[in-house]
Amino acid sequence: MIRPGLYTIADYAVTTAVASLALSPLADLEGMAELSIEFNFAYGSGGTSVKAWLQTSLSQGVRWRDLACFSATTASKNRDFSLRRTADTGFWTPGSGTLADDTVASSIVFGDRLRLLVTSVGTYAGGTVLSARAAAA
Amino acid sequence: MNIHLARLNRDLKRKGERIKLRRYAGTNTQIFTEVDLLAFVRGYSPQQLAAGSGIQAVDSFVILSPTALFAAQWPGGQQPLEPPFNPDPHLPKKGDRAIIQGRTRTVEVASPIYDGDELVRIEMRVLG
Repeated sequence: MIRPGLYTIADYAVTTAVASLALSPLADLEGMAELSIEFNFAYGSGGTSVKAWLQTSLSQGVRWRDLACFSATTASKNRDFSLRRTADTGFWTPGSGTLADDTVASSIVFGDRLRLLVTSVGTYAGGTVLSARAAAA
Repeated sequence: MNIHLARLNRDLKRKGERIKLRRYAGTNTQIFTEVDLLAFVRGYSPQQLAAGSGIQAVDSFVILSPTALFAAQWPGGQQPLEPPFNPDPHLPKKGDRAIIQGRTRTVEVASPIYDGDELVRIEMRVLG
């Protein structure tokens, strides 16, 4: 990888409801082989649920595919996991915003960029923040 | 690389001081993302402190190179704004914090300087 290191994928202040909001991507990450991710949801008040899909793209941002899905409701939550490129034995049909809550894709590929796709229900307040950090290598 | 940016990077490497730039998110539980940078930090001259300028003696003028900001991809993914209001997400903005010589200071203004289409320098006024 050209630039291994620790990256902030996003610190997103969750307020009004959003549907499939794509945050701006981190780019120039070609050559990734491993990715350690931390999702942190700091709950303030209000709201109903929030989901964030960690996504990558192999088509320079034209099509995005889910790598993992993090979900939270009305309590603070912290999760981390590692992803590694896998050699698949068959085809995998990628999706965007379709991976189930708190799961990781069965097939892992890394493009040259990462982003978060966020959907939230209800109006969060009290400084609710969803953040995602990545150690890429 | 643009000649002005290359010269700034070279000068910063030789004479710049190390600062940190932070972007906070949240209010009750504050989360920040931080980047280490080299910068030139200067006080303002008496002429610049003239009445009505709004500049205080404790304020500082800070020059940054965009190179380190872009390499770190600070401050991460942002919510895109509707065009044409879509500034570069890597630019510091009012309210960001700069940790300079161990003191936390607040960015009041950050001005990008372009040479043609290329961002070659960032100038900031920091308060406090």
